[in-house]
Formats: sequence, structure tokens, C-alpha cells
Amino acid sequence: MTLLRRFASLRLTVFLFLVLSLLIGVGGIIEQGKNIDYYVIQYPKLYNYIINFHLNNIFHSYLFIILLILFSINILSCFLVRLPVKYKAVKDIKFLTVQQLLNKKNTVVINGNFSEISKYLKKRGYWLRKSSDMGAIFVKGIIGWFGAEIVHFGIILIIIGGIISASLSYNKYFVLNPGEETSLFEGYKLKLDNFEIPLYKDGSPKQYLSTVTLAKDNKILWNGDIYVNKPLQFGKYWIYQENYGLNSDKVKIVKLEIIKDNNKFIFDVPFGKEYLKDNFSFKCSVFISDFVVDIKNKTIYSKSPQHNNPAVYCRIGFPDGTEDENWIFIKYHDMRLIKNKYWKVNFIEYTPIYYSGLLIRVDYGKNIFFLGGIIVILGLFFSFYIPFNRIWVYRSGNEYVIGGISFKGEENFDKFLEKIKDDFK
Amino acid sequence: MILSELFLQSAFLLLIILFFVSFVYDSRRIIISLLILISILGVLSITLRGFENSRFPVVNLYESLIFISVLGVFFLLYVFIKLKNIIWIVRLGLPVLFLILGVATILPPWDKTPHYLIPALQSYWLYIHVTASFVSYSGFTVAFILGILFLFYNKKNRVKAGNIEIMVYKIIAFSFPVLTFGIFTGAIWANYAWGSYWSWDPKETWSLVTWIIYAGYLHTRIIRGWRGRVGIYWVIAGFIVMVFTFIGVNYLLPGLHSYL
Repeated sequence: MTLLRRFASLRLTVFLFLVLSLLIGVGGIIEQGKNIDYYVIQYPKLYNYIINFHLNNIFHSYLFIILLILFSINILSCFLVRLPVKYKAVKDIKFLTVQQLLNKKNTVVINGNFSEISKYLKKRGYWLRKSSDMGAIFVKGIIGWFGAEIVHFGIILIIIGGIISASLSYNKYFVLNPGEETSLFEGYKLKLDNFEIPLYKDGSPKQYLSTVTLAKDNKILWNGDIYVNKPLQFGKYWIYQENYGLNSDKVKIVKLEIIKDNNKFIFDVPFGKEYLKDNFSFKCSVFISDFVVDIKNKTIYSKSPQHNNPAVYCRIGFPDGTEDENWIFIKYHDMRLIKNKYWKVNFIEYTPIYYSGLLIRVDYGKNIFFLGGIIVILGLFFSFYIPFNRIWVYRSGNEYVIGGISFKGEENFDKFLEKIKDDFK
Repeated sequence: MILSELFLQSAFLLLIILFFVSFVYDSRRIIISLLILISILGVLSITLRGFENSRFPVVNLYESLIFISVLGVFFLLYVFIKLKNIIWIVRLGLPVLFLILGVATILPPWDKTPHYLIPALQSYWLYIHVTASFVSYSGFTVAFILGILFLFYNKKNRVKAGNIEIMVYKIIAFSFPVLTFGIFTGAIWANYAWGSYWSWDPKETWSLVTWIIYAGYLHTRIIRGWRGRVGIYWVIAGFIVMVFTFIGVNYLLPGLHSYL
């Protein structure tokens, strides 16, 4: 018991509050989980300390975990020490002597009979806790008396939920192009039917919208949209719209400009398909988003997934019966690799294909965490807004002596006793 | 000038007038009337901004500073009435609110311009989480003002100081559960928007630090009965951390909350 009391000490609580605040604060300032190079560049003078003291990964460091365990023990001890004491105080509520009651500053003396007083108090939420020949004890707001314990219990649940989430939950990130399908878990398959980014009038994104089909054993289970703030939930799995991006090797439409003398003709050529129009024939089959040539190895590749130097490989049949195929560049119109005596070909624009980045997450601790949160909020509400009032009603001759104690509601309680006096005049 | 700005600037002007009036006339009625008028103008300004932009009116830093100031006027009004005429509440409180509004007005134009809601903010949790958080921030601001006032009265007038200290506790006892609710609803929202209820994002971590500091204050006051200066130092520390959580984190630290 002594050990439990030591762990329940307020001094330890305050110490842990201060140290945890400091650590969490530092964890909020120094970016967590980056590679060492990042800290060397960002903190050239401090990076040694940051790495050695695990300040780059505070929330997973032994120090933080130990402090968190100590904090949990502190809360649990407090809960275990205080709960029986408080419970006993309610259970074994004692009768005071009339003199003890009269010594209380808020005690009032009224005329009336017990049944009237009892009815009066019950109407105002009090219930008869004990009665004897001496008198009776009424109580109200017991839940408020246990508010702090309820809060502590909720925090314990939050910590348990957090530990479960951190240790047992898992994520899987995957990228899908429209029309593609991926296998999830337990035979579930997810197909991205469409991905679009509707825009506001000013051109900013309104939403990132993935239309998906969830199926198992060729049976469609769900079809609909996933977007930011609206994940798809099925069983323990939650699928989120995590991010999006431009496809680096496919486009939807290639816009080509063909010039003869001063006449310009624009063609919207569907990528990857044979396209015939106005005696021209087109087939654009390869797209590279960041075109680079490795002269040494004589290879062509994309330097990055970014669209820094888009190029498309097209075969074009001209009305004069000739045909040529080669790379065409958006940025370098003068580099005319496709040759024709009369016609010049420019690659002027393209409609990109967006991929959708989806995140599937299973979190076993989430519900415990949320339950803990609800309990904490309720506990705080009980603790601060529901005062625990005890009223002793004793008979003294023809009169009744009424007095009491309020836990966290003294001001209104004293007014209430004054009101009893007025109402029974 | 659009109507919401007109109301806001009128409220701003009245704040200045009230500040000077408080030094000339020690009239409870005038001060209460002006505070009510400023509150009404503030509420009208926020509501109209919502209608003008067809969205929730507390989305960016500019709007949230205005929201906190207007709530602050309500808190000041309550405290002024409850503490029965301590004129220094107004004399000290108004410059703080004035400062908050001043910060709002000197923000870069991008921060002041009403923008469309980005996808992450399109959720009904926005109304609940943001409102709760800012109500608590406003309460903590007024508790801080009263804390300073307590230090001022502590040696001069013990009775007044004692009443002020009780009011500090009452305001924090109100604001702390609201902050807890704000953080918790933020966690629920994060679970829907980002796939994780807690990501140790700088805003989240510093909100937790703010929560811990005020929890420390409440523990020491309720259990140990620390009612004097030490308790007020907790309140001042809590306020400094809260300001950093609210503004410092946005400008100094990258994270998921960069829009607010």
C-alpha cells in the first residue's frame, strides 16, 4: 500500500507532467523520423546530440516509453488509492451530531415535517441515503464525486488504446491507375474505376475523388467514392484517399499541332491508339515525363516521375503518303526529329492521367482510444459541473435542522439551503 | 467595403473608445453596454463573413483570431459582471484583445483572403473541433489576463486578489474540458481525414503540452490547494504554450495543420 501511495503521489504527477511536456514539446519542434542527413543539414551544431539522445525519434525512445509507463502507473495508483476511499466516504456516510451540524455556517433551522422536507429534496434530485431516529442523510450528484476517477480511468484506456495502435496496427499504401485492380487481404480485391479532381472556380482542388469497386470471389460488395474525410470502411479495414499524382508513363490525350506554311491544324490524339483524321494517321505509343538520353549506354529513360521534360513517341502518316516516327518534345519545338517536306509537327499539350494513392489501415487500438476519450470528457464534465452535495436533516424539538457539505459547488449549495429556509417559512 | 469588415472595424473602434472611456468614467453601466455592443458587432461580423463566403467563418488564421477576440469580449463581460466592477479587468483585457485583432490586421493578404475549403477541411468535424478549440483558447486568454491582474492585486488587496484567483480557476475549469473536447474531436476527425487519430504532428504535440500544463494547474490547485502565485505561474505558462501552439507552430514548424 505504501508503494502504491508513493506511486500515486502528486509530486510524481507534477514531475511527470513537466518532463513529459518538455519531451513532447521538443518532439514537436524537431522533425521526427527523418534520416541522419536531414539533421546534419538542419542542425549542423546540434545533430550529434539529437542522434545520441534519440531526439529524432522521441516518441519511440526508451526514455519516453519509460516515462509513459511511469505516468500510467501514477494514474493507475491514484485511481486505486482514491477510489476505495471515495467509495467508502459515500457508502459509510456518517451521521453528525446536531451540534456538529449547527456549527456549520450554512445550516438552517426550519419548521415543517419530515415527509414534506423529504419530498422537497427528492423533487430537486436528492435521494435518501440513510435514515435513523436521529434524522436522515440526503445526497445528490454522486457521479460528480467520482469525476476525477472516471477521468483517470479514461486516460488509462487512452494509453492502452495508443499502445495497441502503435504496436499491432498496420498500414499498406498502394497506387492504382484508373481501371487497375489490386488484391487486398483475405481475398478482397479493389478496383479503381475512376479518379478525378473536381476544381473550384479559382482552379484550386475541391476534392480528390476515387471511384472504387470492392469485390470478393468475383462478387461486388461495394461500389462508390472514397475521398478525403470519407474513407471506405469494411470490417476492420479502412481505406483512405491518401494522395494522388501524375502518371509518368501514360497520358490520356496527346495534342499535336501540325503546321504547313501559315496554316495550323490541331489533333487530339488518343494515347496508345491508332487515330485517323484529315488524311493523317497517328499512333503515339510511348510517353516519358522527364526525358533523358544516356549517350554512353544509348538508352532513353525518365529522370524522375515529375513532368519536367515531357516527350511522346509517335508515328505519323502524312497526306503526301510519307510516314515517319520519332520523339516529339513539348519544350523543344525546334528539335524536329519527325521529318516531312511540307509539314512541321509540334507536341503542344497533353491530358495527363492521375493515379490515386490509397491507404489501407487496420487499427486495433482505435476504439479503445475513442472510448477512453469519451470517458475522459464525461469524467471532466461530471467533475466540474456536477457537485456532490450531502444534506443532513435532523429533528430538534418541533424544528428541523438542515445543513450539509458540497464538493465543488459551495456557492450554489449555500444559496440552496437559504432557499429551503425561505420556502419553509 | 463588405459588411462583415464594416462591423468588425466598428467593433475595433469601439474597443479603443471603451479602453479610453474606462480611464475617464468608472461607470459599470457604460462599460457593460459597450462590451455588449462590441460582442454583438463581433458576432454579426463573423456570421456575415460566413454568409459572404458560403462557408464556416473560422477557417484561416485571420478568421480564428477574430473569433477568439469576440469570444474574449464575452468572457471579459462575464468576468466584469461577476467580479463586480474591477475596472482593471477592462483596462488590462482590452489591450490584449486589441493586440490579437492587431495581429489579425497585419497578417499578409493571403492569410486574410477568404479561400475555398481545401478537401481536408470539408467535414462537419471542422465546426465542432475548431469551435471547441478556440472557445478554450479564448478562455485561457482571459484567465491569463486575470492571472496578471491577480499578481497586481496580490499585495495591495487580498480580498480582490482572492476573488480574481477563484475566477481564474472557474474559467480554466470551464476551458479545460472544452480544450479536451477540442483535442478529442480533432483526433476523431484526423482518423477520418488522415487515417490516424494521432500522428505526433507539431500542432497535436503542442496541444498535448498545453493540455498537460493546465492539467498540472488543476491538480495542484484542487489536490494541494495551491491558490497563490504558484498557481498563477502555471496559468501564465499555459498561456504562453497555448500561444505557441496556436500561432508559433503554424509559422515555425511544418505539419499537417499548416492551414490553421
